[in-house]
Amino acid sequence: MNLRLAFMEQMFDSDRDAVPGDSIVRGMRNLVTIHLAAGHLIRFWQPDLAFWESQRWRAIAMCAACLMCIVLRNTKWQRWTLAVALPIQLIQVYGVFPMVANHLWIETLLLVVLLMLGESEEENVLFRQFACGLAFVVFFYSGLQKLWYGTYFDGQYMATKIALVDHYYDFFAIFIPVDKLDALKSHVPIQAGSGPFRIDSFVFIVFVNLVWITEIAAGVLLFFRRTRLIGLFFGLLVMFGIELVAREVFFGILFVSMMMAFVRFNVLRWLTPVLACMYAFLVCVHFRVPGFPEFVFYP
Amino acid sequence: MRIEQKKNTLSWLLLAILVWPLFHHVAVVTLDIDKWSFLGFSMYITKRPIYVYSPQDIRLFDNDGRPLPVSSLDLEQYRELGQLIKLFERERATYGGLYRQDRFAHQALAALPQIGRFSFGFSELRMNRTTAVFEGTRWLYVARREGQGGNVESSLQGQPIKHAASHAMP
Repeated sequence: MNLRLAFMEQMFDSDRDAVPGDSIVRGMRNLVTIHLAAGHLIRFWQPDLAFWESQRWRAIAMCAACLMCIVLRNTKWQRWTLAVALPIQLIQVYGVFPMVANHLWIETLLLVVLLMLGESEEENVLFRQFACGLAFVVFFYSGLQKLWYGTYFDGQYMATKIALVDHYYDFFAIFIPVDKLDALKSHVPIQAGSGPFRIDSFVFIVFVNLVWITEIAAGVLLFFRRTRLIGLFFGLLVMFGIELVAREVFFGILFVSMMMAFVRFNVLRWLTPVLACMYAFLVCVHFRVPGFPEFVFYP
Repeated sequence: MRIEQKKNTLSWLLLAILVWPLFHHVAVVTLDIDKWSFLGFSMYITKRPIYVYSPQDIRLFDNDGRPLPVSSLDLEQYRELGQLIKLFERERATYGGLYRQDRFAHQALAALPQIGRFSFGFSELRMNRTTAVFEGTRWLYVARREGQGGNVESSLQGQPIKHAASHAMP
């Protein structure tokens, strides 16, 4: 067996881990289109502009693709609703290329792969292998690159975020003395000579370094079949921690769903309605629907 | 597509995703490309460079080398030049060493046919990883037409900012 296929089998063993009657492909199609529709609504529904000046058509088209995907969820036509979503997504990628961060790539890759795959048992296994491999790469390299650049050792990067972004400040104010955080704020607006962006706090240094350590650890634990269950719990915990601070909730939801490919039963069957409600909630928060709380998050 | 072909395609795709971050890291270190771009996994590691848009010190000269005031540009040309400068800064930060600054000179001079030479300054702030202090560079970009064949020439020179005053982030 060559190395490529061995890697896929390592991430999800087709003989030992295959789920009878698996339908993760159908579940992920629903979830990815809900994710994209909610994201497009937030990014491109511009109520202040006239229809022809705004990009609203993109949000409408993506929502239409999402609705079709859900309505046709038990038919052979569900797959082809992704063919409607894909060009709209590619327009988004083209619009920002090459400044395409991995979040956008990952949702696009999932879309392409889900369009490529059918609903047979073998193809469900293939999807699980791909999703598990992708989850490993994201965790492992996110941590490794932080280690390579070294801007977490003394907390330099996080200190900059605390100084510039209020919700980072609010989070760290829970366990770091406020005067230390205010000292960072005094370096803003940033100019030549601003800094140093450091906090003299053992707790802070430990917390910040735990980010890359736990990311690498989650990746490694997920790689081996024997430690996968611990890796899964650990990974979910890491994601929860990251979302508490960074609030990139949309990607967090998608990534957690992708991690469900490690689980040997169809979690998405009951998880999708819950996650769909979370997306709907976030869309309402974004559009400041009366009765919904106000908080910052990133689609 | 048969199942074996799909398996092959996905395994190649996964392999590419697996090795790409290594190449990306090398490109970031050697070519200074943006850590957040090109399917980078180096997000949340350093702040992107901060560009200080004002003051830009735009200086214009006609085809005979005489200085022209910025007000000699019509509104459309002025707006286009401003947009091109922002695009220049963004693309320069994204492509790093791969960026071809002559392309910007071609675009800008094509939009300003009455101009033979122009220059502008901008400041860039980057965090020094070791000291955790932001360091600034004041850059001067100069573009000029060369001869009659539509050739252009450009140069970019930078100097460290010693005095912090008036270089605050907008």
